[in-house]
Order: sequence, then C-alpha cells, then structure tokens
Amino acid sequence: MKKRLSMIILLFLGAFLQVLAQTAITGKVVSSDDGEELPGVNVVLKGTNTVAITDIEGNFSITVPSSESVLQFSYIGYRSKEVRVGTQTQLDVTLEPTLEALSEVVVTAFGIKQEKKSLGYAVQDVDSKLIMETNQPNALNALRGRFAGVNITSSSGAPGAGTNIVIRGINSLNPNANNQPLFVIDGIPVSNETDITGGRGGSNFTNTNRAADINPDDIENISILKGPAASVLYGLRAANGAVLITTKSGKSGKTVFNFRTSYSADEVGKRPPMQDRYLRGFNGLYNPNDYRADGPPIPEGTPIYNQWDETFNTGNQFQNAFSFSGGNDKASFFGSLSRLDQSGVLPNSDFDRTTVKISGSLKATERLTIDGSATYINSNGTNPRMGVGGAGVISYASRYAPDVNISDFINADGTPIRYSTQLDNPLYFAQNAFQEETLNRFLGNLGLNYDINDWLSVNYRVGIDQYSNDRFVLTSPTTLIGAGSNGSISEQVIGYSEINSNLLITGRRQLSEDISATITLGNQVTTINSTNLTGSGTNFVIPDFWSVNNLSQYTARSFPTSRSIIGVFADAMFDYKQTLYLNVTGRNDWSSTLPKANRSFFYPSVSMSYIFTETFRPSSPKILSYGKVRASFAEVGKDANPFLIGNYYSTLAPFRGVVGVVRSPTIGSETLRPERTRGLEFGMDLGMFNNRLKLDLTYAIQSSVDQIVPIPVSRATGFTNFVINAGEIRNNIWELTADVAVVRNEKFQWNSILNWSRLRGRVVSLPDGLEQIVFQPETPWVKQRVQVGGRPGDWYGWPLSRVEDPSSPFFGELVIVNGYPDVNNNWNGTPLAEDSYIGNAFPDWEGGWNNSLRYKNFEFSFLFTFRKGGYVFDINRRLRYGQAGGEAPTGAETELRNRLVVFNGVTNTGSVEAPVWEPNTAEVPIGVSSLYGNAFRYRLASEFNGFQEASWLRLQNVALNYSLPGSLLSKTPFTQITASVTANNLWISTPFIGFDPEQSAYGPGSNVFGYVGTNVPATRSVFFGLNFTF
Amino acid sequence: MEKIMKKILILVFALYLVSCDSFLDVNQDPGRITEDQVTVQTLLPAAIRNTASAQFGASQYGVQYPQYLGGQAISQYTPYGFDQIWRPLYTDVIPSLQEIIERAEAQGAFNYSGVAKVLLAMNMMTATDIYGDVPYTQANQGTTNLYPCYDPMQEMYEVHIPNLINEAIEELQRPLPELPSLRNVSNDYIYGGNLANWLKAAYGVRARYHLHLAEKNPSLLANAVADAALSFTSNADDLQLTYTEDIQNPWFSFLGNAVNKIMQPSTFITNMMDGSAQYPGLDDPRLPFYMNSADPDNYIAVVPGQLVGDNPAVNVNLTADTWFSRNVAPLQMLTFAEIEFIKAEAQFDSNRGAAYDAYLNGIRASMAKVGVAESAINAYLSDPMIATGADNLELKDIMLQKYIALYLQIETWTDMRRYQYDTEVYPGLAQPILNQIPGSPWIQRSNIADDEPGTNTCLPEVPNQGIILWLFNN
Repeated sequence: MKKRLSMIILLFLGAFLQVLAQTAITGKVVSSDDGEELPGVNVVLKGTNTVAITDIEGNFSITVPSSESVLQFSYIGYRSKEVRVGTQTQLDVTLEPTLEALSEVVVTAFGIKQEKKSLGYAVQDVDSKLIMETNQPNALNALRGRFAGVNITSSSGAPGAGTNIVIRGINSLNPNANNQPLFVIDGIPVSNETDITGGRGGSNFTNTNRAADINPDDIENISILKGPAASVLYGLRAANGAVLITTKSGKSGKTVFNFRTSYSADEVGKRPPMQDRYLRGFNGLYNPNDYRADGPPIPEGTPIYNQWDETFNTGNQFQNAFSFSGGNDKASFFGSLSRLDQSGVLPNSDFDRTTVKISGSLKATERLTIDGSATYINSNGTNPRMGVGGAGVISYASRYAPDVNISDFINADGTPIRYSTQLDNPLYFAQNAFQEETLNRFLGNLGLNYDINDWLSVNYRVGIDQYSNDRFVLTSPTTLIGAGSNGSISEQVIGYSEINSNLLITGRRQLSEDISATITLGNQVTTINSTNLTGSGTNFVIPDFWSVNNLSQYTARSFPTSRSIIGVFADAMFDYKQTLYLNVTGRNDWSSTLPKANRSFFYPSVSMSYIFTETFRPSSPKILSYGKVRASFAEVGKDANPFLIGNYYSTLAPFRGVVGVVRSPTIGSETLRPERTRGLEFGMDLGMFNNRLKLDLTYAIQSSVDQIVPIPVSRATGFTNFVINAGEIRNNIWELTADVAVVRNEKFQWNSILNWSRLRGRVVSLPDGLEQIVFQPETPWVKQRVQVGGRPGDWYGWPLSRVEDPSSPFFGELVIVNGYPDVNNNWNGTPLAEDSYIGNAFPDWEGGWNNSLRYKNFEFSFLFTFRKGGYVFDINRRLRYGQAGGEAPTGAETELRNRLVVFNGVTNTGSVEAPVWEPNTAEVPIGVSSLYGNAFRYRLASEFNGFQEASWLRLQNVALNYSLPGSLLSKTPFTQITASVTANNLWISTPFIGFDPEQSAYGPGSNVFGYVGTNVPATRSVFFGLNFTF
Repeated sequence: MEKIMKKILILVFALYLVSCDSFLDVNQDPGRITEDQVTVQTLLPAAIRNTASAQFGASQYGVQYPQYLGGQAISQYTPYGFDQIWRPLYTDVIPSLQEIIERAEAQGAFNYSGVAKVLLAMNMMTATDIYGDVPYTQANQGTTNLYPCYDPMQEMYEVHIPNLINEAIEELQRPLPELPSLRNVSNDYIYGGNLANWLKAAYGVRARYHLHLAEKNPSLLANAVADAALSFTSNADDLQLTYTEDIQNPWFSFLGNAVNKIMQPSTFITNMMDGSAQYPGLDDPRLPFYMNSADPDNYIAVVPGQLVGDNPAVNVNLTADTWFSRNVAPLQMLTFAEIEFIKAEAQFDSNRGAAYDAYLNGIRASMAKVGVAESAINAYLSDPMIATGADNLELKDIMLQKYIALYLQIETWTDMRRYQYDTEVYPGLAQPILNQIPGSPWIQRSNIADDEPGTNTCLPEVPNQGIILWLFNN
C-alpha cells in the first residue's frame, strides 16, 4: 500500500511539471457591483494549457507569448470575459456577476466551494442570517424545515436537549444504531456523539448531541450533503450524509465589532387535557392514598389544580455574543465570545454555555497561506429525570390527583409529602432525581496551503476535537425509585479525543479550449479515542450527602474505545464548456474496527451535470431561463463500532472480596465485512421567468446493504446478540424545492422558499432465519417491528376490531363482544399474539415553507413546517388513560364515567365462520375499574393506548428585524443597529392530543422514532434582541 | 524552495504510511478480558451469584402462583414468560457452569466440575418445572446453533438431570486434582470449598428430583428417602447465598426497602399463619418474621387476583426488617427444612412414624432458621393442630407446613402442581378472583419466554398457561 501510494503521487506530480519563462503580465480582477477583489479567478491563456489563479486580493500574474495573446477570465458566479493583452503588462479586469440561479456557490467536501450548477447531486445550504434569526441555542434546531429530505427532531424542550438529524431516512436495521450524519467544521470532522447516560436504547435524560456545542453566532454557513455521492470523499463516517459547517472568518479592511443580545420567554405551548372531575380512589370509593383517579366525583367547591400549570414555569434564555474581525492584505483574524444562560420550564433545569473562538489566516509568502483556529466551549446543565418508564417528572405530574396541591410537597422535617406510595410529587422528584453535566471542549485546527505553481496546490490541515463530559446522576433515597436501593449515584467522566489529518493535492488544468479538469488527490487519517469512567453505586450512608463518597456500595467501571481510519481518495472533475460536468471519485479506507482481512475497502462514485439550456437555447428565455439535469451513482463503505469482533468476558462488581467473570452476551462475527450504502440520484434544476422561480427536483434511491447489525438471538444460544453482516434497507426519496421571488424591486422584496420531501423506506431483507426485529420497551401492546417488506418504524399492535367484510351492511363498524369493543379480531379467534399493522412512525411527507420580506429597513420572515402522517405512541397518554382516568374534554371515560352506555357497533349472533351481525344493544358500565379492569382487551386497543397520528402544521419561526437608518447612526460609533422580535414554535395545528408531538423519547443517537410523551415538551419561545455593529 | 517543499511533502507522506499497520491494530478492548485469561476460579463466583439471581428471578413474580404474594396482573394469570429466570439462566448461568465443567474436566479438577454440576442440575430442574420443554442439549452453542430446539420435559427428567446429578455425586467423591492451585475449590461463596457439604447438597438435589419424578414412578419415593438421608443434617448445611450490606439480597431492594410495594403477601399464606384459616386460633410465631403488618393484631393481605391498591385496607408488607427481605438475608435455594419435608412426604405411606418425625423436624428447622425462640417453637409444636401424632398425620399437614417453610421459593409451585392444586392437600386454596386464561384453569406453566418468539425458529407450541406439563399430567 505504501509503495503504491507513493508511486501515484510521484506520477501525479511528474506528469504536470513544466517550466515556463516568458513575458509576465500582472493584474487585478474585481467585481463590477461593489469593486471587491475576486480571489480564485481562473485566468487562462486562450488556446493553451497555461492557467493562473488570482490570489486573495484578486492579483494574478501570467506569462504570455505575445501581445496578441488573449486571456480568458472565469469565475464562479460571474460572466466569463476575454481580454486581448496588447501592450499592457498591467491588466485590471472587472467581472460582472451573473444571474443568481447560475451563480449559487455551495461548500462541498473539504471546504471546497463549487458552483451549484456543476454538481451532479443535490446540496442545500443556509447562511448565518437564517440561523441567527431563530435564536436557537442548538444550531441544528434552526435548520428545521429548511432542507428537503432532512428530518430534524428535537428530543425535548429541556435546556441543552439533543437534536436528532436524519438525512434521507433510516438506513440501519439496528434500533440502537446511530443514524446521524458526519459533522464537519471548516473541513475537519468533529464529534456529534450523544453519549446517552445509561447507554443507548432508553434514556432518562435527553443528553446533548455534541454538535449543539457550537456557538451559532460563529457559523457563516451550513450546507448538507444528502446522498452518498456528495459525501463519498468524507469516507465511511459520512455514509449517513454530512453536515458541513463553515465558520466566520476575518476579512481585510476595517476591524468590525459585533454585539448581539437577546432575551426570551419560553413556555410549554400545547398540553394534554387533564381529568378534573374525579377524586382519588378505586371503584368509585374515595381513598386518599390511591394512585388512581377512580374515586367519586369531586364535590362542588373543592379547589382544583391543573397540574401542568403547577409543574411548568416560564423558562428564559439570555444570549450574548460578541465578535470582532478584520485584517489587512497579509493577515486576517476573527474572534468571538458568547454566553448563553437558560432556565428550563421545569424546576431544577438549567443550562449555560460559554464559547471562545479565535481564528486567523496569514499569507506567509506569495505561495504559502497559513490559517488556524481554536475554540473553547464550556457548558453546564442540570435536568430532572424524565424517564421512558413511569418514574419521571412528566409522568408523575400527569397522574397527580387534581385536588392535590403539588406545590405543597415538603414537610417541616424535610421529608416529602406524597399521597400514594406509587406516585412521587413531581416538584419534589425534580429536585431529588436529576442529572448534572459539565462539558469542556476544545476544537482546534491548523492549515497550510501551498501553491506549488499556477495550477497545482497542496493543502494540509490537521484538526483536533477533545472534550471531557462529566455527569452526575442522582436518585435520592427519599424518592420512590431510590428508596429500594437506599439512593443511587453515578458519576461518569466521558473523554473524547479525535484527531484528523487531511492532505489534499489539487491540480487544475485546461486540457483543451473547451475542457478543463480539476484533479484532487487526498489522504485522510483519523484516530478517535474515548474513555468512559463511571463510579456508581447505591446505599447512602448520610441521607443528604450527595457524592459517591457517601455510598456503602459502589463500583468503578471503565469503557474505553479506540478507532483508527486511513483513507486515500482521488476526485476528478471535468468541465466541458461550463455545460457538461463529470465528476469521478474513488476512495479506499482502512478501518481498525474490522477484521484484518476485510479492513481495506474501496468505493467509487460518478456524477454528471448537464446544463441543457446552454446547448438548446430556449426560444423564450424569459420563461425557461435555466435548465439542468443531473445524475449520480455512489457507494460508501462503513465500518463497525470498536471492539465488536469476537467475544470477551466482563468482571462483576466485587462481592465479599471476590470478583467473578462472566461472558459478554454479545458476540461478533470474525468475518465481518464493511457495510455499504449505495445511492442513485436523478435531479433537475430549472430557472424560470428570469429565474424568479427556481425549481429543484430530486429522486433518489438509497440502499444500505450488508448491514452490520447486532441481531437479537435466542438467549438459549448463550448470547443475546450476534453481530453479523445482514439485511438491506432501501429508501426512495422525492425532494422538491421551489424558490420564488414573489416581489423583487428596490423598496420591497419578498422571497418564498418551499421544501417538500417524501420518503419511503423498505426492508428488503433480514438476516437469514430472522423474521423480525422487535423494539418493545413499553408495553406488549404497541411495538415497532422491522420485517421484510415492511418499513422501518412500522408499528404493530391490537387495533379495535371492525367488520372487514365489504359486502356486509355493517362494514367498518366496531365489533362488540360482551358489550365492549373487541381488539385485534379476537372475536374470530385471532390470537392476541398475532399483532396487526397499525401505522408507521415516519410521516408520509413533510416540509417547510419560508418567506422573507424586506421593506426599507424592515425585514420580516416566517417559516411554516408541516408533516403529513406519521404515528406516534404517547407513553404519557397511556398513563393518563390507565391511571388518571381519562382526559377531560375528549375522554369519553370521564364524560360518561359511572354510567351505563351502549357502544355503537355490532355483535356477532352467528358463528365465527359465518358471522351474523346485529347492532349492539348491551349496556355496560363505563369507569376506570369497569372499563380498564374488566374489559381487559378494550384497554389494550392501540386507539386507547396513546397511539395517534401526528400530522402537523406549525409556525416554526417568525422574525421581525428593524435596522436603524444610516442617517441616525452617522453621529454614533455604530455602523448598524438592529432590533428584533423572534418567535419559535408559535402555533401548531395537529389532530394529536397531548404535548407537542415533536419529541423523541429515546433521543438522538437512537434509531427509534415515534415514542413521545415522557420528555419535557417543546416550548414556545419569544425573543427580543438587539444587534450592534461598530 | 519549491523543490525542497516537494521533497518534504513526499517524505512526510511516506513516513506517515510506515506505521500504518500498527496504527490500525487497536481493535482489542482493554476494558474486558479474553477467553485465555479466564479460569475456573474466576468463573465459579460469578456462576454462584448468577445462580442465586436466576433462582430469585424464578420467584420474583412467579411466587404469585403459589400465592405467597399477590398484587400484580400476573396473579390474574395474564401471560407471563418468567423472563427473570430465563435471561440470567441462559446467558449467565448455563454458559458459566458449562464452561467450568469443560475446563475442570480437561484439567482433572473434578471438585470444580462436581460443584458446577450440582448447580446446573438444580437450575435445569427449576427451569423445566417452570417451562416444561427447555433448550438444553442445543443450548449455549453460540453461533453454531442460532435456533436451539427445546428438549422435552420427559427427556430432561429421564436423561439430562439424572446424568448431571449422578455425575456430580460421583465426581465430588473423586480424588482431588494434582495441581495445588486446583485442590481447593476457591471463591466458593456457599460452602467455602467444603466438598462434604457440596456432596450433601448433591444428594439433596437428587432427593428433590426423585420426589418430583415419583409422580410418574412412585417407587422412586424410596430413592428420595435414601438421598434425603445423605443430605443436610442441620440448617447450617443449607444451600443458600448470603448477601451483605453492600451487595444486598434482591428481595431487599425489590420489595423490602422499596416504598412503592408492587406486591404484598397474599391472604393464603397470611391467614394460614395468623390463625384465621387452616390453623384456627394458632398464631404462627414466624408470622412477624415473614411480613410486617401496620396493625400487629390484624393482618390484612391481598386476595389473590386483586391488584395492589384495590383494597385500601391491606396492611401487610415485606420490609427491610422482615427476615427474607433484609439486606443481609440469605437467598435460599435448598434447605434442611425442605429435606425433612421430602422425607416426611416420601415416607407418608411407607413409614408414618418416620414421616411424622421428619415433619416435626422440618417445622423446627424452619422456625429456628428465622430466629423463633426455642420456647415459642416448643409451644407451637405442642399445639394439638401441629402435634397430631403419627397416626393422625395427614398429607395436608406436611404440605401446609412445607408451604410455610419454603416461603418465597418457587419450589412450592411445583409441589402445588404435583397435587394439581388439590384442596384436600392445600385446604382453603382458591383460584384468583380474576382469571385471564380462557376457561379459567389453574395456572400450570410459564408462557414461552418473551424474548423467544422472533429470535428462535424452533419453538414448542404453548397454547396457554393452563396446559398441564408432562410431569404433572397423570
């Protein structure tokens, strides 16, 4: 391998080496609209292969054979220009920008900016302004509704909560797999881990995804590479796509200072109704110690509390960001300082973050540019335990009796007041079962760019990402869940260190008059080491001493991992008359996590873009001004997690001075191969009506084959999981973006962008012999099941039985057995064990519609996001139904409680084989005990279990900005002052009953979607902000 | 300058590929150990702890069937797959014990293999009594058999369990291994490496086995009596794991110390002991050791089939102070008291006198174990309802007292099913007030373990939990 590589490099260098020595022409290229110098302009001596590129100030120098020589100047986003040299040796050229649609530039792999028109795949980006407008402390949340085919779900409304991002669908069969894309800042990959407390697959805390550490104010641009064709150069870690973040940098000229401040009020918007008519008890009898609300009606005059009002506060976010930037012709710099202080809507929940960043670049010689940046992030957060199970603040609050004042939760002696031994007071619980987190993170990178000659350059960049995340999880012995073990504490120190080294050699040549080529060779070396040291235990010695030093029983555990990846790649881009583009790439990776024999793997990509309007000039360019078709095919390999191969033994905690060992229940195949993600993508970009309407349509098929999955195996094998290559998931994606300049004049501009996508996943195959993979943490009644022919996120359960014979006059009516509705066709002998398909967790389609309006000094924007379909299982609703006794306005159980009713439906008076349907006439009692107790099966129906459709239309973001007119500022030191009012998540329309259905009980870093209701609900925030530039 | 740069570049590139292989050889977990670092000495303590966990797991919810506790939906016969034994048994206990046996036999360390076989025989018998058919001959074969088929209960009883226990008895009497490091069974939490005790335990397991199988072949009662005679002779011999304040008895954290008691003692055991049912007016001095009542004069328990909270008057609980759910309580797997009751039951027809003596010994052992004062024991034993005399001794006397003595042990469920919940043997025994199995039969077996459908393609049919197992179907 070593030899082969060196040879390739030598060949590459040798083939292009030339020595030139003729008359030198120097000059400067500037833009016509603002006179700004244009760096990176291609200057070609017409009819030859001689090329020069302008430097950062737009200067170039090129040698020409005669005064008759013609220089061609081309630059992305500008109209190309030809200039005859003549007698001049100093040549200053002005380029005119082209129409927007033709000139959009996006960041692709390794920070390389490319013209959108040259790309054979879909890339979308958003700039700083849109991100800032939302005031979201987690920049990912600002991206919602702005990208077609990208699903962004905030796991909760808790301060510091993580956000899940899924690009073009789930592509792993493993419910605990991480489906997150690779995050890249300024060309260097960084961690977006979500180190879930307690491991993947069930979380009591919505841990932060590490990309949320980044100060949104530092971000210049975020572009998302969706398919494998786009992300192939980043290698195996980008198999789920890549999110490329470009940060702000200094510009030459006057030093600019910027200060932004904003303050918000955050509230829980949508809340489920609570029953407020019945007292605690059972069977209609009052029992002040019963956890159920099945007592008698609440007598007139009894004070009633809405427990949501009592539990939730108004949260606040106070954001301050200061930055400065500037430079001269040799050097530029950028520095920023930011601080976020947030208090959550629950008691004992807060988050703060401080970031410091400095970056700069220096032109050391004519050919050598050095740049670097360093970022330090510190964050601290506290959040009460939420819990997928019943022990969490929300689930306690939802079951607390309406006549109990939960604010009165503590006795004079400090002991909690609770009325039932099954329910903790939510406010007390929040103070006594929580997680405290501290993060210290350092991100740094250093880059060198050396132009060997006019057409060949070398770029080397090394980046480090290092963090330490300390977590303290406490369950006090005074809580119900802590009592059994007499309190528990876990102190966890997570350490993460990632070093990336990228080397790129780029050559750009004009191969002929019409064809130019850019060839990049690269090498990437990544090493990731993580440590996780946990001291945890139980049994408090001193009741209120909150430290592991206070535990009589504790253990220390260490979970280190390490992973190394080497990649080499080549990328060749050919451009024919700026009309036809062809891009071919190949990458080979070596990963430490695969067996030696299989650890080297190669994968290619090819993409094409054809601007047909260049060839076939439309007769009416006003109607069709621009048209492009594109196609790509790519494959990305993917390695395994560290230490999966083979089998290990673990040690148990010491007992009576002795440590025992047990075999780990997971075994990994010794012949594991890399997993493959393949993507085929077709697209069309159209610019119409002078590019006032831009349409971008994409169809992609993406499949993940040979998946590395820990398949659940029968425990009788001695193991729980066997890690093998198996199974295939295929996603079919339609993406549409429409960008309309509704009004475009000097005074008033209105731009409207619509993103829409439709995604269908299919399970093509499963491991041999495996019929299904079931995810069922909650109840046996509603579960997610992955099976061949199905989709990821398919829900199975027991729906209410209905007459299925279309010829029956009662078709579709409920089947009633013994007066109560039947489930899962149990009436005809279908065993309850045979679940029925009841829906899918993913929406049928989703999207966003953004509008930005500008009138004089006012800017106004609003963003709607929407999704159609997608079923969720509201764990909280199940608890409310089962124990609190139904919801007030909607729960028939509460309205009709303790009455006799006749269910609308039909009963079978014939046989099972030949049913004869008669309208139901049986009167049955309705009540918690009679309905849920006796009608066992009715209680299990998915319709009554919190299983609901979660379509929505949401006003995601509204922002109004006013900039003070320049005339007012002329006597002040300020160049700009902007005041803003912003609102996030202001309004939602949904058939879903409960909290805001956008939530994820299992958090980012998990593949399990659709479980909601246990976390802090999404909040509605209104911000007031000021921005000063001077 | 340019040339130098180029040279440096190539050099750097080449250098950084030199260490390629070692750079990539990092896929070995430093936090865990590998097969070659494992020994029988380190496997045994884990195997013992996990055996206790599995035995506790069998009882944890399962003791609602013999009506020791109640209050969960399981007591209403909703489907239950005994996951709490299934999981530790198949992924921890069987792999550890079989690995000890394999490694010990290869080294001639029959002391270790003998101990492991006693535990394996006991665990497999508990499992087959719960499930009927269980994976055994195809179990623990890792990736070579991903879909292990189940061995019929009949074969477990006629072939595999007797093989294990007979080999255990034989191997525990073999000469000690040559290797000094293996001569002493170390890290033995139960008997501290005392093989004589393990041999008694082995006979005890075989006595239990013969008693069970006597359902099919009554002549085996004599074998049960013979084995029992070679088994435990006092409470000090009990096969049990004693916990500590640091690592507590699982009943302690599950119910004893919990504020939210998800199960409570049932009326069957409570009323039997508080003098309101089978023994009118006779207060069992063990009662306050077994459960705590908010009102010591009035024990109100959960009616089987009732859920916790359904009856607000219920006032009995397991607490951190009641004997079985203390943090330092032993988890009992096979006791001297049980051996005495095996003798009593097995000789009930053949030697009533010996049966009566064993019956009284069993009661005394049970009472002494939990710390009942000698005088209270004597008073109880002299009550006419207890001191029936050999001639008036009835089977129900033995079985009721065994029921009390084996409190919270799943073995009692096997006893009840051997007699098919006969109210002649268990007077006063009634079905739960709510029975979710169609046709309302008595509960006879576990459901298929919850994890199995969907992962194992070789499953036996279990239509419902009311189907009588082979052993009990006579």
